[in-house]
Amino acid sequence: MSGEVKKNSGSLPRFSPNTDIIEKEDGFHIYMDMPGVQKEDLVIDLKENDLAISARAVYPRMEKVSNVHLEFGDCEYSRSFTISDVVDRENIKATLKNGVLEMFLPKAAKAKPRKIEIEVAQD
Amino acid sequence: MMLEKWLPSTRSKSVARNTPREEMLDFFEDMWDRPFRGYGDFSKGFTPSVEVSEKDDEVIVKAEMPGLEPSEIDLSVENNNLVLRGEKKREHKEEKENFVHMECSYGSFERVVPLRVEVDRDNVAASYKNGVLVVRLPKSELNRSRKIAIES
Repeated sequence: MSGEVKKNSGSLPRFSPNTDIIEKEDGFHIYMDMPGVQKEDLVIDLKENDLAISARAVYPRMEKVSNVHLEFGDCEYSRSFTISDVVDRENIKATLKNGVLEMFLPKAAKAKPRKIEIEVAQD
Repeated sequence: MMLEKWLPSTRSKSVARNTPREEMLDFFEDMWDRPFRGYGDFSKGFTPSVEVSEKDDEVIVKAEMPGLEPSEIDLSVENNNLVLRGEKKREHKEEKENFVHMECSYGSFERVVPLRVEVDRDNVAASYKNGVLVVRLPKSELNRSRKIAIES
């Protein structure tokens, strides 16, 4: 968790997860660090141009524990991106593994670079 | 994003902050580092955030380590410290110019977590799930809290 966005009174602290975005020829790859998040607690929402990701990391309560040192804890992650028309919305893929959410946003066929064959003109 | 500097943060930098001098150096390091976050090359490598809690009979250490495989994490108990070592690798090995945006940090790390009591180092159990490592270190017999009956 990093970059605390705001603290809602009564609810969990909210964080904006660290994110890498990489553009390749076939599309965009997004990697987000979300330690502690289970697949069930992750919501990815695409509404028109907004791709919103929200998740909760909740750790099981332990009985009779005294906390000695705390640097993280239960929290909410949320972040949204505006995606361009270049992205093929129907084929966005997401996988969550070892606390990292990986998303692949393919480019629509018309946006992919295309080699143009040059025909030899014959007179 | 720059505003983050003025907001309270739950993250502290390390458990072992020994001298005021080191603390001051940390402060400056942080001050120089902050404006360059998001530009991979300038920012520091990956260091896991750690949580330490204690029960009557065991010490529990949790660490946030997104994107590692359990086999890539090296744990050891040395001189009453729990030492976490490993390397957070990029899943993506791409040419620099393809990065549109970069915030995640990578690299090898070593984090020393001091344990306040002696632990039974032969019975340490660790599990890794959803990017979070949980280590349970049972306290050695001598250190368990024990109720002492008072005879009247």
